[in-house]
Amino acid sequence: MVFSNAEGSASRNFFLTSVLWMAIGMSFGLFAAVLMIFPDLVRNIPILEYFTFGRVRPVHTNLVLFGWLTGAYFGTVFYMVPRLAGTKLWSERLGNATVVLHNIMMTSFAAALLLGYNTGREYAEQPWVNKLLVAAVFIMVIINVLMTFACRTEKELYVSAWYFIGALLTAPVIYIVGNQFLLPWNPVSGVNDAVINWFYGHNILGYWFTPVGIGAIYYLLPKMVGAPIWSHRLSMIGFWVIFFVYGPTGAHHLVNGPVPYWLQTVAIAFSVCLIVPVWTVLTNFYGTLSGRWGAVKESVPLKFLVSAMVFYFITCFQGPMQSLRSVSAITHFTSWVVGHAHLALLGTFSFIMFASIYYALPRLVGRQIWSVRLQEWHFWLSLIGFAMFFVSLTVGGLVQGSHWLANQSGSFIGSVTGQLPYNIVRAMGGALILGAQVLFIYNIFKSVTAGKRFEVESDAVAAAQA
Amino acid sequence: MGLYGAAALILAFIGLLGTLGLLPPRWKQGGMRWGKRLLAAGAALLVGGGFHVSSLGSVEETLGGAAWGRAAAQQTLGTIAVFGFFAAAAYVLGKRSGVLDMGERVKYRLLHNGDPVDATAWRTALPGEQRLALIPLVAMGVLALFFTAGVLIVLLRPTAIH
Repeated sequence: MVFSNAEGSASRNFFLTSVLWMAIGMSFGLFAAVLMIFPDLVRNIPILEYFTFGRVRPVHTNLVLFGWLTGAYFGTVFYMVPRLAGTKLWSERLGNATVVLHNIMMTSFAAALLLGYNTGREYAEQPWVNKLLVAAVFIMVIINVLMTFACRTEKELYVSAWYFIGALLTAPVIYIVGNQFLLPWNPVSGVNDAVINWFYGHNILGYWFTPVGIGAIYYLLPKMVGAPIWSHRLSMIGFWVIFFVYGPTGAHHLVNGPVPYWLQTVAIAFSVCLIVPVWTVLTNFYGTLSGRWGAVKESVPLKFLVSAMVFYFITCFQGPMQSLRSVSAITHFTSWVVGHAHLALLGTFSFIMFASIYYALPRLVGRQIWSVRLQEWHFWLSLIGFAMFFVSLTVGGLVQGSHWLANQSGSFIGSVTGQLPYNIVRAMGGALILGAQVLFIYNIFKSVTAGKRFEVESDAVAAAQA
Repeated sequence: MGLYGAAALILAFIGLLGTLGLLPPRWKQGGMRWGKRLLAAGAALLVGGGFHVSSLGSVEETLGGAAWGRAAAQQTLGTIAVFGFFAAAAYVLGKRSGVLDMGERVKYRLLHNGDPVDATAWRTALPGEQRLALIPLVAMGVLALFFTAGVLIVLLRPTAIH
């Protein structure tokens, strides 16, 4: 059963398991936010010693990045690739084996971190054994996807196919190199290790999360508005620019730090250049939607995509700005950076995955979404909660940076206690977001078990496309 | 560098849209005629601006000095060389394999790939709905102003350094 060969089963199983990891991961995130308000909450409570901030926070990041977002990405890729290639997925059985291994991996991730195993490297906290599982999962997915394209009947590759193949070929390289070749010891240490860590930490965003997310938009938007993307050539230019420009940007996490000046400057220059691919995506998005904005009123997935584009623009407006030395001097190490990371991973890519699941799951299980009303609640609670979340983090971050600039030998603890109001709003926003996802998960599972039959409007399709 | 970069990107992006024939009908002809020149102007502004800023902003500030030469050459020329090499290689490979000549027709295939479109695809547009585009556009503008203002306030306010 778990290694089923049924068409679409691997994609469906990835979607259904990824949302569960999202719930768990976001719960840890909310708990971390609460700990920032009540830092002594778990003090001297024997069992809860496992849930200190230092353990809870990496559990949150690992579960949402690798469990939720990467799991949903695999589900999206397994759904869209066969349809882009004009053939079935090469092996649903291999896909389902990947689902099982992915879930074993995520369980191991959570256990290791809660037990205190932590390498101290951002997004790479896992012990090396768990990292081997990540590499294995990626290899399984790569084989499945490349073999599907090798057997394709659709000879020309649409832009989404380029993005998915590009992501699957580059992300593992970044993961392996950035995790010091998955060796049980670290050959490189000190500042040089920081450079390698951020080569990985930033480029996993640029070569995994960004291309699969953008590829998904280029697939979903035409399907939702019934019109092709505005310019395929422009989308391909955006693709090539992303893949060439993203690589050297990692060191912008180390600006004003003890790394070579030229390395920082290269990273800053390329970070500014990243504005170009963003503009290609946004131009294509608005060009495609032109004359079809009414559809947004009636479609929750489209609302999620439109919101994601706003957050994507803001992420890529902030990014080049905060890579500049003068701005980084204020924002580095503050809550601004936390807000920026969530703008990308939650506001942009998670919102895109919500749209992807709402689109794909009914087609996979043959049942409509159970409740449109719950969809609306999901969207509005997510949007309002996230707005509270990132605004409070951004303002709080600027206050922190301003305080540190003005009081360089003064009281650091003053800047910490001064964050309390922002941390409270952040936690409230996080609670709204988590609540919204609970509704989402309930709606999804009710759809799978009790949704009305999903009907393909083939006659309408034929008539309208004639 | 931010000013040079912003100006260069705006020029280059308009030039790109012009070359691809993607500007609104009123400017389409002009865009196709001037697009490549705008692209070149943007690139020149970026490179020239990089040299200028390198001379001002680097630790080694003496124009013409050996240290300035190292900073400017490494940071600017080196970046351009690596970037240009890979871009040229990708262009040559892409041209040879034919993928650069891929027309727009592939985007129409997506709508006929057997995956049914959403019901919203058949919705008839009602008058005035185009104005909904203003909501995300205004949101982007407001948020961009908000972030820029916040950063400028912190950067420019007088600070007391003990």
